[in-house]
Amino acid sequence: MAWAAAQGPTPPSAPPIAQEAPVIESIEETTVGDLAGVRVAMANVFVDRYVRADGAPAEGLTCLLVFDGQKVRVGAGSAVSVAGRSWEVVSVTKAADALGEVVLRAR
Amino acid sequence: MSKSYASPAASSAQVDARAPTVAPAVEATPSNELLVGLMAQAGAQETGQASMLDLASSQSGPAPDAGMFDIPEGKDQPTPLPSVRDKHQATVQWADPAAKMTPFVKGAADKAAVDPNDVAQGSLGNCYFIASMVAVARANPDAIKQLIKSRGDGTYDVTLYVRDSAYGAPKAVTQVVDPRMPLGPSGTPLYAKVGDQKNGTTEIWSSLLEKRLAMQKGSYDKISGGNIAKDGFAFAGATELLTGKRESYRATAGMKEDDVLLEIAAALEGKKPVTADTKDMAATPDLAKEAEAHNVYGNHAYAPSKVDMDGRTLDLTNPWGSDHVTGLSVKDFLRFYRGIRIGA
Repeated sequence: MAWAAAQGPTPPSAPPIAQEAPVIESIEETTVGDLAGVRVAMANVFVDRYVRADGAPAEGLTCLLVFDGQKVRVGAGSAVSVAGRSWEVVSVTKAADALGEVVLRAR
Repeated sequence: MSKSYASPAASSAQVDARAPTVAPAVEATPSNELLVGLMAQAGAQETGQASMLDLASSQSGPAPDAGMFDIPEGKDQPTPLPSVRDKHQATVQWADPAAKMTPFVKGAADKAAVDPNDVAQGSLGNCYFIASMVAVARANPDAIKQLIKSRGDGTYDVTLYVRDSAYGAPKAVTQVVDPRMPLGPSGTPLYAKVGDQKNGTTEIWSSLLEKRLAMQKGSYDKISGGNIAKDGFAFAGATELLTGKRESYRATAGMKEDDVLLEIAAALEGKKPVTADTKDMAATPDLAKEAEAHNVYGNHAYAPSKVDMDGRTLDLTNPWGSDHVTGLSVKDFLRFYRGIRIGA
């Protein structure tokens, strides 16, 4: 205790950093999802070329996102801005004889 | 006071040939004044459709894993709620049953209380049913009104026409449905969207019919995509569920341009519900991209709204409630669409 007193007041411990769960949304092919209050439709899943968030070209399964009069083709690793909020495309998948699905994570 | 409801299970249906009173376009009950379901409309679309609502009950929290949830006592349907999709279980809330919701509201842009613009698809792959609701609302809005009858206690007798088997005739099957609908994280309906608003009251006829179909099958998942036709559920077209009258289907392969224009024009003029299905374009990306420019998307259903015989074009309503198809040449229609369904 003497040592502690000699060193002056103990610095307060750092406050815990709030860890918010990442916002992840998925939208199925031909349906209309909700990205933070914005209606976003998804359609036409097929293999195509697209651009990743870092600007690198890529090729793989893509889908079309339709919102606010925009149509944006995206694939895994690309980013899209919806009503000012940026979303990363985590995956685009499609099983045989099933609707495709896109998973997005708020950035 | 609240009650706990177990995870929904298959509902027992009853055949009901009664013809009770049609639900009023807007009903106001004293209890409505006490409600906590606040409808904060953040911006109605041009159609008058409510776009942002807070219909959540203050007593409803996210559904636990077991599918249990609390709702206020009263005005609840006697049978379990249909299950939402597995991926929605963790975040779903149910609308306050006592919020100011009513089947029919005549919006400013509506010809009648039941109007095609009341309908918009949500996070469920049931474009076949949503497009059929649009088509029947356009052809025969009174047919929709006849399906939903107020019981006077905040619940509704909601009827669909269901077959016992593929060989049987569709029968009117009625179940009691309350206004609760699943809401997503932003407080808006997760599946079929709500329609117009007037005097703080929100129109929910399309949500009620979608929920009624989910009750018939046991869950919302079972009415998504091809699941509707599983478990022995037989029907001859989705408009049959709403009208009790069989649809006819014509594949576009082999149809001539004039056939398309004349058949769809005759259906619209004859007040028959008509829908059209697009082709699967997954293997034809170039065709898909061309179609996208016209708001036509693969494996999707639309409801034709207009035929221009002179211009040889068609307009079609997208069940999304937006991104409709306008001025599509009949030549492109035959390239993008695989079939036409005409009800009676």
